[in-house]
Amino acid sequence: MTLRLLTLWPLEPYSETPANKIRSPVINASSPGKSDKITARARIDTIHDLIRERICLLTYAPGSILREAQLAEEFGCSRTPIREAIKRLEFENLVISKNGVGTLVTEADFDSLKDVYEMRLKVAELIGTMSPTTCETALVEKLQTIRNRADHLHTLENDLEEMARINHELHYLVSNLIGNSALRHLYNLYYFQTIRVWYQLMPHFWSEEVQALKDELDELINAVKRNDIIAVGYTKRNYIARMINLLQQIKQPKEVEVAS
Amino acid sequence: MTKPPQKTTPRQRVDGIYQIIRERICLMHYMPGTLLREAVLAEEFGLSRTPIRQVIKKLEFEGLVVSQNGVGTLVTDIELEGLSDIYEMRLKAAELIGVMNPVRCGQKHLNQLIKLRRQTDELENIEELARINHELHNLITSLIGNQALRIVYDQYYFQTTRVWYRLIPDLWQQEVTALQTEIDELIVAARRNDVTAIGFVKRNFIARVLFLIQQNTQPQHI
Repeated sequence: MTLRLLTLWPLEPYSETPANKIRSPVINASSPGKSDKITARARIDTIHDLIRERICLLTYAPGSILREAQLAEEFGCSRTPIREAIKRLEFENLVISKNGVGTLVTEADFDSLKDVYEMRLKVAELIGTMSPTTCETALVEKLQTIRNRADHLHTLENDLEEMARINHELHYLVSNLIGNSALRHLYNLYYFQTIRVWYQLMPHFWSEEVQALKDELDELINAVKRNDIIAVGYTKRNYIARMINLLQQIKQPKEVEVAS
Repeated sequence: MTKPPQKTTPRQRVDGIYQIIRERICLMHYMPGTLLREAVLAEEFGLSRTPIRQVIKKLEFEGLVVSQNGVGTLVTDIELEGLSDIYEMRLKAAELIGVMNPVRCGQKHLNQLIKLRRQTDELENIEELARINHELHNLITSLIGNQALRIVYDQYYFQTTRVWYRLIPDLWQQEVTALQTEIDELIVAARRNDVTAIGFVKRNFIARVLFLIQQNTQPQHI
């Protein structure tokens, strides 16, 4: 079953880039002057985040070719910022450039990401212990809002996109609690490197995963209500561990096949 | 020192040059503010400017160089500010060395440690100290089993280590002794193949340097 998912949806403000910048795919040419450098960087950030979004939500499936010219046209900019954004994605292992072929979206399989998953657990454990920010009261409401949305998840065919979106927003709500910028960077990086594996599996585990997401949100809301960010980190850690376990179980039969 | 990588894939070539230039920055062969010239580097490595440009992009991504419009690519200045988060993570990364599926620490590692320790008895200048510290870092990094951790541990080292080098001239004897003590402790841990202890020793000596830096960057009188 292939994921029909994910024609690009209108982007919600869950990106690292401010929502107002990312919402419009056409990035205006910068006005000349002092702000040139800042706008140039912001433009690259925006393009980078947007392409990353598409890769992670499988809009650009593994193996797809990213075409600079096409992206430049879509974003209404020159090829230079596109190239920069793609370079960054390459450092993040989300794309790979192959001579004579172009830039390909990397495959996302559990085996090659095992070490990253393991680090993701450790990083989640650190969220509450390394100078976290405090939970604002608004956070409970935000979590509650996506929890309510999770209640309306119905079938895979209709709601996979919404499920991915909820998970995505949850990721950013938690990520914003991380005070240490180096830790936050890693937490985001590992998320983007691994999350595709989970989305790919959704067709096999739909109702199970919907339930798990709801449970996770409930636990997180409880933790946030008492401003217990250590508990937030551990809850994330445990649900990531749960997912790893799931992925390992799926791996098992394949390994036997290979061995025989 | 330059070993232009030969008969390799383009990817390996870029990686090799990246490591060489990164090392030059961190060993202060390229001082902060140095202008990196694509054309010059391309000539040195006997390559076109495209792979050099890629290397520079990667260094820029990690904050070791910065490109300025109309000027070119400059080696960044060293400031603790902005690095304290990375230092803090470096401590955590060191703590994880021994607990995340480490490589077995064998006779080979032990011998290398002993050799490095011997070299510290004859240190004459800061370059030599930096070089030994650098080799020590590479040795410890090779014990890390988890690839994602290894990348992070390595990157944090390169992002922070120059801050320390800048302090050494004023604290020469003290820092030489500290390096010797560190290697002694690592040898004790390596003898019993205790990579967890190795990670913790590294953690403690990184914490020591962090403390030192914080002391030395505080305004003296307010």
